[in-house]
Amino acid sequence: MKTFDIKKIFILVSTLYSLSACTDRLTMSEPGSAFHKPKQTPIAENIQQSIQVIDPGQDNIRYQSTFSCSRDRLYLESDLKTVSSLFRLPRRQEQNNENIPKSCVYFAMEQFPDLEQMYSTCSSQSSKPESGAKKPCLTSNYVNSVYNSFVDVMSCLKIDQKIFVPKLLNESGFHINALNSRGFDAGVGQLTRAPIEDINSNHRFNRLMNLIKDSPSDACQRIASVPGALDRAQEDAKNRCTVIKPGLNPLRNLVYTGLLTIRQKEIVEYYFEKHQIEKLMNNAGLADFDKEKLIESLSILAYNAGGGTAVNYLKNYLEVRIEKMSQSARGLLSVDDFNFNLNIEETLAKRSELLSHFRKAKEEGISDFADVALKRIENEAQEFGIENMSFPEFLVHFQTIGSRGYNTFLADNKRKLDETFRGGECTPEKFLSL
Amino acid sequence: MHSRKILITLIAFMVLGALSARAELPQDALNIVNETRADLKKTKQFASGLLSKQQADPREKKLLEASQKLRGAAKNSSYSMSQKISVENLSDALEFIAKDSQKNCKNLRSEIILQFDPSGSTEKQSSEVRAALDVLKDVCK
Repeated sequence: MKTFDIKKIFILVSTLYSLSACTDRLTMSEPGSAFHKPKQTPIAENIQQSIQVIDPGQDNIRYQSTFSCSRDRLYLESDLKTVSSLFRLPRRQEQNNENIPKSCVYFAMEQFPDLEQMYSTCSSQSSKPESGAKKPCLTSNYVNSVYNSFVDVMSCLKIDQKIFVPKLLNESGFHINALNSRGFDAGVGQLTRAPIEDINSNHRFNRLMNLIKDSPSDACQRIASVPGALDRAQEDAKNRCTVIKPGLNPLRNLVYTGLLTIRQKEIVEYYFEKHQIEKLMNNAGLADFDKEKLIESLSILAYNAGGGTAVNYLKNYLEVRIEKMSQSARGLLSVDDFNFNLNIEETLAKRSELLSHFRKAKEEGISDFADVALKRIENEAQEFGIENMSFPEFLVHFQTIGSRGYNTFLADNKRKLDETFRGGECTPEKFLSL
Repeated sequence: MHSRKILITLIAFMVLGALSARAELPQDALNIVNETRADLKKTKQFASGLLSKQQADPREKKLLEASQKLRGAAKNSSYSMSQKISVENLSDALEFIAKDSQKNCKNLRSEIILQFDPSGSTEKQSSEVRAALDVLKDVCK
C-alpha cells in the first residue's frame, strides 16, 4: 500500500514537472525555435521562417550586460522588451548574406562619445525628449534591435548599407536616443521636422510607404508585419519621442531615414538635370565619369546640406573651372577632383584653419563676427583661386549650409573604419569618389 | 373637310420627306458634325481652364519673375561665392514654389527646407533661405 502511494506520488510529480517544463519552454521560446507555435497566418509563418533566431551567447559580439553596466545606463531596457521579437533577437548570419556584419554597428555605437548632452530620455511615445542621459548599455536587446531594423530597412529599400556606416558613425553612432538638443535632430537617422513633414505629406506618404508594403522581399514583409511601424510619425519637436522611444523605434526612425535617403536622391537627380551638370562636367574637360557615383556623392552631401544646395555647390564649382580653365594649375577637370579620400588630412587641417576665423572674429569683439569671418575665408579662397581647388577643397571653403566639409569628414570616417575592419566589411569599396 | 384632309396629308409628307433627307445624310457628314460638336466642347473647356489659370497666374507670375531676377543678379552682381550660391538657392526655391503653388503650404515649407537647409545648423543661418520662407508665408496667406 505504502509502495503504491509512493509510486502514485512519483507519477504525479513527474507528470507535473514535465508539464511545467513544457510550459516554460513555450513561454520562453522565441520565433524560429521549435517550441514557438502561436496561432499564425501563413504570411506570418513565412515572415518568421525567413530568419533563424540564435542565443546571444552564440553570437560573435561581446555584448555589455546588466552586470557590466551601471544602473543609470540601463534605462532603455524595459522599453526594448516591447520591440518586436523579429527585430530584437539575434539572428543567425547567413554566409552569403549581403548585410554588413553586426560588428560594424557595434563599433559605431561603442565609438560614439560618452557625453550626457548627446543622449535623451522619453516619458512617452509622443512626448518631448529630454537630453542629459548616460550612454545606453550595449546589451543584446539594444544592439540587435538597432542592427536588425537597420539591415532590414536598407535591404528592403535597396539602399547600400555600407554608405550609411561612415555617415551614422558621425550622426548618431546608431544610438536610438541620440539627440542634438539645438535642432532636436533625433535618433539613429537624426531626423528633424522638415524630413518628417516632407515624408508625411499627403501626396507622398502612400507612394513612399507602399515601397515597403508592396514589396515581396522578406525584409520588407518583416517591417510591414510590425503593427504601427509604417504609421505617420508626429512632426513637432514637442512630440519628437515618436522617432526615439523604443517599441516602434528604432524601426520607425530607420524607415523614415531610409525614405529620406530616397527623397534626397530624387531631389538631387531633379536639380542635376535642371542645371545640366553632365554638360558642365563635359565642358570642364571630364567626359568619361561615373554619373551614378557623382549623384551618390551629392546625395550624401544632400543629407546635410539639402539636394538643391548640393547641386548648386557643384554647379558653381564647375562654372569657375570652365571660366578659368586656361589659368587653372589643375588643368582639365579630372576624376581626382571628386575624390574626397585624397588628401583628407590636409583638407581637414585647412578646415580647422578656416574655422579659426570665426573664433578670431568673435575674440576681436566684432558684433557681426560671422559675416566678417566668412569674408576673410572667402578672401583667402579668392587668393588661392577656386580654379586651383578640387571639389572637396571647394566645399571646405564655401559650404556654409550644413557642416563645412561634411563629405570629407565622412571619407575620414571610412578611413578609420577601414583601419579597424581591414577587410573593408563596413564601408563601400568606392566611397565619395568617381 | 376635304381640303383639311389634303393639308394634313401634305404636312405628313413634308415631315416624312425631311426625316428621310436627314436619314440619307452620308455617314461621313454626320461624323464631321459630331466631331465638330466635341471639338467645340473641348475648346469651351480649354477656354474656361485658361480663364481660371489666368486668374491664378498673378501669384505664379510674380514668383517666377522674382526667381528670374535673382538668377540674373547672381550672375551679374559682385556677390561672394557663398552669397551667390544662397541667392541661387532662393531663386530655385521661388521657382519651385511657383510651380507647385497649388500644393499644401505646409508641405511646401518642409520641402523647401529639405531641399536647401535641412540641417538648420549652418554656421550662419542662410538669410536667403529664410527670405524664401517669407515669400512662402506671403503666398500662403
